[in-house]
Amino acid sequence: MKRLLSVILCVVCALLAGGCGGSETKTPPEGGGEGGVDVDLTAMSKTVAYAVINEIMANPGDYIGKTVKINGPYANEYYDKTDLYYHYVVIEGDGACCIQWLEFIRNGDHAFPEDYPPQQEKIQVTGVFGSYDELGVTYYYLAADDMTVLA
Amino acid sequence: MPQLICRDLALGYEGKTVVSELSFTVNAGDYLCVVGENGTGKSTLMKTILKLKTPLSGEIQINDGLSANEIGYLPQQTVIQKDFPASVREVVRSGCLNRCGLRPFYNKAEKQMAEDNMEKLGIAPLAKSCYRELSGGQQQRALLARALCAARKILLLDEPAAGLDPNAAAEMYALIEKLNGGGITVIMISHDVAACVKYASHILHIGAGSALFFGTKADYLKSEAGCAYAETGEKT
Amino acid sequence: MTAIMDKLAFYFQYPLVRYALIVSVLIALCSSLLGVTLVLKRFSLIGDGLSRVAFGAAAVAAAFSLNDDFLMVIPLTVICAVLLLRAGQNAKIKGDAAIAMISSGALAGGYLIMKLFPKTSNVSRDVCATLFGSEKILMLTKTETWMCAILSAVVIAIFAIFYHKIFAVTFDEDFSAATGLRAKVYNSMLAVVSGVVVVLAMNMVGALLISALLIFPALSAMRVFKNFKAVTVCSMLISVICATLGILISIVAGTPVGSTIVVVYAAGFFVFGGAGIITRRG
Repeated sequence: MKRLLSVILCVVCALLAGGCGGSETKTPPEGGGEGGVDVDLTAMSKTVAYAVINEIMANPGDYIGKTVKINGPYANEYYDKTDLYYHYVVIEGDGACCIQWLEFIRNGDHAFPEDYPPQQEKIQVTGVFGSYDELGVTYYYLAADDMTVLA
Repeated sequence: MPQLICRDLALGYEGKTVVSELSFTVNAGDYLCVVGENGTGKSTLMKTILKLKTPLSGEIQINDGLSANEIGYLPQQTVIQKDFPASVREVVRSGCLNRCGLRPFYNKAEKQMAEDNMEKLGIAPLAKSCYRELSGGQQQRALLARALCAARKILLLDEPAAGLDPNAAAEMYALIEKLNGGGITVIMISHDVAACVKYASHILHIGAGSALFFGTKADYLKSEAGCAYAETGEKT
Repeated sequence: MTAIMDKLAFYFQYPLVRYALIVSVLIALCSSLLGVTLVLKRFSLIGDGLSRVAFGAAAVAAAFSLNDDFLMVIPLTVICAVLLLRAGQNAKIKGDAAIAMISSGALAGGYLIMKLFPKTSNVSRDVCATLFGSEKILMLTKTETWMCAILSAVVIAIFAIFYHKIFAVTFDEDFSAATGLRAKVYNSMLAVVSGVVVVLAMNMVGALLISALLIFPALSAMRVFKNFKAVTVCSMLISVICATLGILISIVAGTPVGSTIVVVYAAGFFVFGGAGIITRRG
């Protein structure tokens, strides 16, 4: 009985100690992916991808400057205060219940709506995570080098 | 030497008095049988002595340095227990917990006592068996062994032979008498008039609302209540 | 096979995956321990009842804009647990009716509060996430992770220290109380533990699926094993294995976390049920 309890105690302590890398942030290792991509959401299952996006949006400071590759349905939104269209990749979590939108801004000149696909079309975007301020609010986005429409 | 004195006890529930003016004394080494019709408050009396319920009025005095830690109790079985995955050894050992205090484990002495009590009641070969797979008689003996682990001076038994066939019941009473012979005070509730009359040293007969009789067995058999009850018992 | 191992290695480099696994194992351990007692006391549905109370408490916490809602959710859930479990045999309203009352009241009240005082623009998402868990276990903040881990460890320690006494009080409360064990104290302790474990486990499987986490391991173990120690140990092992498998499958396959875990638990129950039938015939 006592031996069994000491085994359990050791397991629990090991688990707690394992969690003791608590000072490190939840960022992935530097330059971990191929082709210079730091966070490759396309290689992850939907479940983890949603969690990672959530992590990025919750601690955006840790991810500024990192290259992110993401795929998902395309969506755009018109904001009358700035008279601009904003472009997003949609990441779905557990069904329609949990959705995150990640804004992207393409480098170079692209006309809307000719150079953009229709809404809901699956696209893949690779870009550098950054932020900008507009009308007093900080927004986070991907400076996209590349946007491809997935067949 | 009186171990337990009850004076003018009134018992009941939800404001309703079931029995009142109950007074009796139990001395060390006595074998007291509590008899009476259903609903007269026998189980309530036992639970009150054990401080599981509070009396409506009256006083219970426990002497002889007897604390709750020295009372063994054999309650009626609950539905939960009949289906419980526990070995006989685990059940019997749980009787030792009142000695453990804050200590989380049983010490060697307690484990040995559990083995001895199982031996005493003839269930040692069943130590590893699952409690719910035993017969009614074996289960009662396991619970009695547990009560013995808890008891040092006094045993309270609530219908120990309930649901047992006549042979198993007879064995149970014989065991209890042996324990009483070994010096443990026994207070037993039973419907089995014949057994009560055979083994008890004292009888407490509770009728509807009040005690009909308290005294030695010999006096009881001569009393009015005793004759009527014993006769009814014999007829059925 | 190696493809799967590679995939797992890829995911494991993400701390959020590692932390999710560690916390899940700890929660699985303590919920299985609690589950054995609850099942044997015939209180299997209390997990559902308490999780709805926790939902209501979380709604209140959000309405007050509390950042770490642990501070409100755990105390409120614990209080309800104590009320439900301690009332016991003396209650005017019996066990299952009391659970139904409190849980439906809390669920309805919580939903109303969430709609009237929405913290975020998408109330349905918050409701859905709390009820089904979503990927909450993968998205715990650092504070939440530490709270989960520490509370789980405390619960496990409590079960280790009071193992024999919990057995006695579960097997026969009257006897324990009569022979000098403070049964009421241990029952209250179990109620507090229930409240805490339910709140922790909601992170894994959501409010609606809590009961599965509590009862499947215990029931599975009881198909095969016949003494309390074996049932307890087996239940812990089953819980840890199924929870780990469930999370890994959902991570790799992209399925919803809570439901995947519960389906694996159910599969475990069938496995043990089958094993039980075979061992009984043999």
